[in-house]
Amino acid sequence: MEKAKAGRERILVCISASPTNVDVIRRAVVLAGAMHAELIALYVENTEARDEAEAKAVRDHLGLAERSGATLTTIYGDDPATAIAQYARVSGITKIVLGKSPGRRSLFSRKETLMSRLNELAPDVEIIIVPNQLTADPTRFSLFRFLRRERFSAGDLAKTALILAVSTGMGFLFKGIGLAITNVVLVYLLGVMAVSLWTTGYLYSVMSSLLSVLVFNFFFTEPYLSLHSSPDYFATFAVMFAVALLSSSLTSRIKAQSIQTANKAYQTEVLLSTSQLLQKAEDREAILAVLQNQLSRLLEHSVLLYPVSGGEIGEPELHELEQDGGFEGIDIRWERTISEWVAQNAVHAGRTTRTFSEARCLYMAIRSGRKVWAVVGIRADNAPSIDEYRKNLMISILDECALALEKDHMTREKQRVEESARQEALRANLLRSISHDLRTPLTSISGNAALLMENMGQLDEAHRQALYASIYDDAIWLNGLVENLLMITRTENGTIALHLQSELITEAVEEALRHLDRNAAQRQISTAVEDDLLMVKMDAALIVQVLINLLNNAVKYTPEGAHIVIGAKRDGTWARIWVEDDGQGVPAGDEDKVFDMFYTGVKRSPDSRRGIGLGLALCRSIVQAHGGEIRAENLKPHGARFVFTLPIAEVIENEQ
Amino acid sequence: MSNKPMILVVEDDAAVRNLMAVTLDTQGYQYHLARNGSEALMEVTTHQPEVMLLDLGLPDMEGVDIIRKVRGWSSMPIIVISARAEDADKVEALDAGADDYLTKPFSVDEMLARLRVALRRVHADQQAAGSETPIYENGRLQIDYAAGCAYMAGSEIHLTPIEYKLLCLLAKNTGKVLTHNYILKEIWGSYTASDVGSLRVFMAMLRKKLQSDGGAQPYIQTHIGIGYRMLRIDRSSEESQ
Repeated sequence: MEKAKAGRERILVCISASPTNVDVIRRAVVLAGAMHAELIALYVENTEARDEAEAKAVRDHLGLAERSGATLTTIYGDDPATAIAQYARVSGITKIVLGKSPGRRSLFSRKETLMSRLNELAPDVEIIIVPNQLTADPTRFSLFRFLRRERFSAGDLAKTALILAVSTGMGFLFKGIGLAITNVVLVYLLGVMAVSLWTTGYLYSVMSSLLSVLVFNFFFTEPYLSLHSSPDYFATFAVMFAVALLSSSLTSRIKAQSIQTANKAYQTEVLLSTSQLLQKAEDREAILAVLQNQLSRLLEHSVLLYPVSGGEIGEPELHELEQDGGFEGIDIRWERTISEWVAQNAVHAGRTTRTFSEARCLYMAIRSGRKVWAVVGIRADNAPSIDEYRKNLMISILDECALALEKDHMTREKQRVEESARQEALRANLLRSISHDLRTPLTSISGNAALLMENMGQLDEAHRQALYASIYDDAIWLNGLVENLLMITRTENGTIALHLQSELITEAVEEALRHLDRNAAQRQISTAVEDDLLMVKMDAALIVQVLINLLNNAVKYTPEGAHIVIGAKRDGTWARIWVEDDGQGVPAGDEDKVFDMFYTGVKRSPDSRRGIGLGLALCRSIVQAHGGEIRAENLKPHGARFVFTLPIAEVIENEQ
Repeated sequence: MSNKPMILVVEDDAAVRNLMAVTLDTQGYQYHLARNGSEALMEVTTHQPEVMLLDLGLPDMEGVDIIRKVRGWSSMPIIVISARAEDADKVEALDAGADDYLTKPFSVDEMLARLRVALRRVHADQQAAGSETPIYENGRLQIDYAAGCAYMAGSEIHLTPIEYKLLCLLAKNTGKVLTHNYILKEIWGSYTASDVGSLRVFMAMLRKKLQSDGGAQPYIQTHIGIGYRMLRIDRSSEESQ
């Protein structure tokens, strides 16, 4: 929970089923507005049974609070005062707005009012009481109301009767073998406890307490088989009734608490597994899939999901369950309109809400703040309605999912910004290098050509030849640069589209040898491909470029007359291909750095032209795109070897 | 003069067109120039050139469409010209019926060499037109179609059925670059991706067998990523080596 921000009040309003609660909420909203305070509507869910009318009242009140701008929170606790006080403490509440209540007077519970207990438990928090203007609910605390709450069930009635009968039977047995009559009393008490344990509601406990006393009176006190009895027994009856009633009440409470604990455990388990799954989910789709799964598991309703991006809803993902008929027979277009409305307004709508309640599904926005990430629709027309408990759990899951989506969005956004910054830097660097590296050979080409045109007569044959050769070399060099640049545009934006085919390494090597610099003629180049039929999966154009770059690199950094070997051999399911020379080798410690873009060996002076360090970087991109690895190593006594791996292509020879 | 071969150059870039024109001129070829597709088609019908050099990146028409139109009535050699990064375009052009390709930037020597290959094919076709010979001869390679045997310098080459079929296919299209897809379709009928690998293997075996006589020039040329071609070998040039 976040701590109260300095200067900002946080006002808590307690939601209840009481009809006066509407007035309380309105007062709280007015107060919050006047103080520019944050309003939190708190509902304490507890074990006391509530009927439909009350549940609806609570829902209406929560809805009212939400529409008035309050943040909704539901907590679980048997004792509202403790729960509210604890919540107020941890979430930095400064004021609590309460309705004046006459205090809860359920059987055998505390008689203190909520107000006085809160005062005691949270002395720092200001408590504002809204006077009760309505007369008390006429049905409140009446027997009618008590009975209305209870559900009659033939099964429970039969159980009660059976247990009474068994108790009576055992009473006769005890009496028959001559045990004291007090034992029979205890048997009945045991029976009452059993009733309260195995039936729902207080009614049967109370009934069995009363009946136990009557039956005991009828069968086991003199005169037998009559309700008359000597006044001696009145004390016994009174105590027996009191003990029966008390113990049944305690048993019911224990039972209720165990249910609550089980619910809590279930809730914790669901939320925990949701958050674990959300943590593992790697992208938006995965997060939404987790949500859809968890919701349909929890609610046992069909769930559909509309991803929202840029305020527009996308195509729905359906998760259909058989028990509610999936989304069969639903007017998807009409329902889609509602989803759009939900996405735009970031509030819930559809079945069981006030807006578009004629829809077949309940639509809820997965949102953080006003930003809607997705709209979830739950089929709610032909399946049992979702109880308050599950609804709250569902809202917790939605909130958690919204957080996960927001986090994912932010991470992605950050990555995107970083990536584009990196690309931008790369592009700027590339442009700078290219403009320099293009201008140098172009100057030489145009200069040499001008010289030839203007001074044709004065130049002797040898000079002219040298100029022609220089123009030719520069043009070829430029072409190599353009090839690499074209390949870079294919690889560096991350969308390298490989045309993978099985190719013989010997053929790729032959092709590469055909495209070497003129200077290569002054080196001794030999091939050492172990097996002529060694075949790998490759994009031929790209791999040939890798070989050309490695060979030209070897030519560039070795003196005339040096030996260059291009070789290949099989290594398990990989082909290992290498180009080695007996030149100076790679500067020690730079074996990895040579593959970085713009690495050019020695620190270059602004005017030198030996390449712009694209070739090896490109080689690495290409080899990695093929799933292989490339590395450089120095040879003893001197020389360098560049090795890369490519996956072997197995060939089934097909003789028709 | 009239017996000098007539070449049609279709190229939209003035500098490259000029370079090609000068080259052809110095080598004593006759030539016509076309700047776009419609001019090219007109030239083909009016002057009936022996070989066409066709740039694939023309302003008014797809190069492939020109090839298809020309192939409607003529089997003259077409050499397409395109940049290296566009292998797919070349394959498409070859499948549409082009014979050969040149990659920009190409050297003048390379262009002339390709031209000679194409012209040799024209002459071979003209000689073979009258008589349907059952014997194929190319340098020291001989194929006896009737007997189903191939000989190198007089001695028989032992070929598997597939290798023989491949050799015949290449021989019948001597001078023409055959794409992988074309070969696969001709030899295997239908094919799957795995067959591409076996084609490479059969071709490598076949090339080895043809080269075992020690001749410096390979009969079958590999065009990686594109296909294969049987070269027309001059018997005299072979023997002089």
